[in-house]
Amino acid sequence: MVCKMSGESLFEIRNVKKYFPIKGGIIPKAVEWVHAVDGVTFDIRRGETFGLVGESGCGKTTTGRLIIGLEKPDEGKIVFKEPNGRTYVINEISGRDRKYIASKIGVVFQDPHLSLNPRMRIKSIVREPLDIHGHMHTSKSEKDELVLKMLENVGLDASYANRYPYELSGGEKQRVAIARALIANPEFILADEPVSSIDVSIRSQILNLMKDLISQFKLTCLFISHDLSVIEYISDRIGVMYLGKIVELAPVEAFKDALHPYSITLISAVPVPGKRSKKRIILKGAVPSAINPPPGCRFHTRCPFATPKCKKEEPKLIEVEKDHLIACHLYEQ
Amino acid sequence: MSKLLDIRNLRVYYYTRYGVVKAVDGVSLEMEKGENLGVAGESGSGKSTLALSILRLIREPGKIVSGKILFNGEDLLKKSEEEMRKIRGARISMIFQDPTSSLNPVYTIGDQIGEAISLHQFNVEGGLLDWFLAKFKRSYVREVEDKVKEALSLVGVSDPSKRMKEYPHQFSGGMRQRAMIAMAISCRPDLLIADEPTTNLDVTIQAQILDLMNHLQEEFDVSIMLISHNLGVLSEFCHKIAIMYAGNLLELSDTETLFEDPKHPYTEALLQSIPRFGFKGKRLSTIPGKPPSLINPPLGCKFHPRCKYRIDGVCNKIPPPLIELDSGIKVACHRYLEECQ
Repeated sequence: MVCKMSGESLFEIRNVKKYFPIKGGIIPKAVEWVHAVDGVTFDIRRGETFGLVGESGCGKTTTGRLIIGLEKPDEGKIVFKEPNGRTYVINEISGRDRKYIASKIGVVFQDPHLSLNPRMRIKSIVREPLDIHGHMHTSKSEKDELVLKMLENVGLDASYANRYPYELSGGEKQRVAIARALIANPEFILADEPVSSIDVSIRSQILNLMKDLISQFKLTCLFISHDLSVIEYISDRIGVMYLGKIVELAPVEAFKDALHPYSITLISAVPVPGKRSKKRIILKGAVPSAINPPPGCRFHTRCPFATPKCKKEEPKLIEVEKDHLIACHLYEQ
Repeated sequence: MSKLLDIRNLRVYYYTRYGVVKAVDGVSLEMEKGENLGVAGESGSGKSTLALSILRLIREPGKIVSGKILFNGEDLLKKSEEEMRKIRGARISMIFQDPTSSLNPVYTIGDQIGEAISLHQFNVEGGLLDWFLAKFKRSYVREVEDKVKEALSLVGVSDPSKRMKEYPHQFSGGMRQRAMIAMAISCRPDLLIADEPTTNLDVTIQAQILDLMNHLQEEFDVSIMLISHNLGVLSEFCHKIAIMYAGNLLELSDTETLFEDPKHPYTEALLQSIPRFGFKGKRLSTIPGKPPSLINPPLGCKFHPRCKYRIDGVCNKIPPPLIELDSGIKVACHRYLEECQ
């Protein structure tokens, strides 16, 4: 918690862009580009859980993949900072540095049915990061012990170790995925929609488990989800994405009174159990295509407050309160 | 005769090679005219099977074993297949979860909506050949087209005469769901079953679709059965909510009471375990364990292994009947049995 107060960053993401080509023609070449991530700048601070929220296609998963180095950005850079002052530029490193960084990162994917190898036993799945990340001096029996301990940490007893993934339910599989992400002592966890495919009565078990483990192992976490209630529950800071851009960055306490028109509509669109007569802002139309994103502010096509300026000029992220950043012309004065 | 739908002790089993899956195991449910009923439950709780059996769309290896489904007083389970065809789409219609896979990719949106209209309103029966032949009659084609346009503009598709000639891949997810709704309401049904209609959609689009369904209900006086695992969606849309668990109906209550004063321990635990926006701070409580297997469900109350109020010797032996409390709430739990007697 001390680290959180100091605000020291673990990842610095600076103006990162990633375009994906759409190929066409007889000799395939890029005819159009999908602007998946289009100039994103933010920090992930040591010890915090950063929640990234947005609708499908807004680039939140691509942002996650860029940060852990699974995609190379077309522009901008992503810096990983160690407490001792050493820095690594994620998109430039290779070889030993790349492997070292990989050992500092754990990933939990959305669909546990797809992210576990069906032909490996649970214990081999969880042990694999240990085998890969230079734990050569650890003996096999020590590794097995670590695996059992980690399984216990995620709430699975030793009887699971020899099973195969198909014998487990969705919630149990996600627990295995979490154990695998944590076993090599990472500093950072990327959780990409980890509870979206899990039943409601199990979801809270997984959320609480993740929350506990994050504080137990003093982890930094990037939590990606489309579900605002989940994001609000788990995060310390929240970033809202829309069409490849971050439109609002706020600490969770300030998020309930979000300021950007898109965040406001997003919040008003969330159905809250037990609240029937809620006033909703209903947006017209759907999210525009990321192939030819609208000029100016990307939200102006659906924004109820759009002015002529919004159609031409792109708003910059500005700080309106401490730690609360918004990209909107309404708040520029 | 105000009861639109009256399901009595319905049992639907799937005979798989691993054993008999009791997907719906003795469910009784009523729906008044003009009422929106929400059916909530986790995956495998039998909510979709319940919906499909109302339309008699249960396929092998599934079978409706026993029970009655009274629709306007007539038992749907006694109808012939031909009679059912006249009911499906005309008096009871359904919206499915995934509009992408429930629309045919090789027909235009207009053709697909027109199919339901020509079948039910112009009696163009039979195979595709009949349908194509009918298309040569000018006046008929124009009439169907007009109705398709009307249906599309009702669901808020702008420029319907252009968009009806487009194919499903040219529609976005929200627009496809609108087209599905247009198809479902084109014949003005009495009952509309919506099976997770917004699950695959983004929240802003979900708000649009829910708003549209609300609007249509007011305009056409159609009763909607909304099936969803999202209690938030149900609470904003439905008058009554039925909670299902492992093929049983556990609680049937009006929406306000359900959220303020849940009766069944499962409902109570479920409500405490979902993160609600704007309630940050409190730690979520969890329901221990996992949903039971439907092939070998626990004896007695199916929720008892996960229930914190279970009474040993009772809950693990006798399945609780669905009883009506003084407040009109129906609940299947032994805790309320004494209260009732």
